[in-house]
Amino acid sequence: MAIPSAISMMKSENTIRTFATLRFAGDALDPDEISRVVKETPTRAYKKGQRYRPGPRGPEITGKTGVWYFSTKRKIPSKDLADHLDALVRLLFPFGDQDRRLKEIRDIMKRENLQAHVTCFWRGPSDANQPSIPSVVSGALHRLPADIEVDFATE
Amino acid sequence: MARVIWNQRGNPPKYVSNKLGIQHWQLGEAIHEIKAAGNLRATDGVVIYDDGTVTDDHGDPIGNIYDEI
Repeated sequence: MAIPSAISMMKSENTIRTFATLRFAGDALDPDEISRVVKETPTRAYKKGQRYRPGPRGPEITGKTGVWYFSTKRKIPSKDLADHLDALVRLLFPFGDQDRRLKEIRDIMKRENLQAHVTCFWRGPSDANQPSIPSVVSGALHRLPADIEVDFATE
Repeated sequence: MARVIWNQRGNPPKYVSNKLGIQHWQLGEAIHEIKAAGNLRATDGVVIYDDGTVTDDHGDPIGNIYDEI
């Protein structure tokens, strides 16, 4: 039984893991307002001062600021980071929308003084090429504006 | 009483995931999500305890590793 377990572990370590996240944050953030505009349920959301529990093992936490957070980790099965980023971009720029949603989000961000952040996670084997952020994605997120943080490493 | 097993910036090394009994990539995923959902930057330091609890630099809890796996 030890040999299959060891093989399974090696396969697991040699697999690419990737996802991307989008969050809006600010003291005046109303999570329901963001959900209404982007037409998506957040992975986690809370208002400033709101008590919430992030999971069954986690302690109850008081939100230091308001956050609307969406992660593609359990939504997009692809091992290509570009697919995960594309899912985030589609929240902000749906097809055929002609930037109406972008304008609405920008208005909320300005009115409530919100910040937008995108993060990218990637882990792969030592011989894999690390991904890059497609220019069309960075250009689109710059229009929001949202900054992009990368967390890339090989195992 | 939970014990601190990591208290630095950056990505925790393998001995931390070994202490928690999980794969190193699982720890990386969990820390990334906990930080992002807690509105922390990737460069912000966190404290990890041997029961999976994660706190920020101020000692305020922001999540638990095992909830993200």
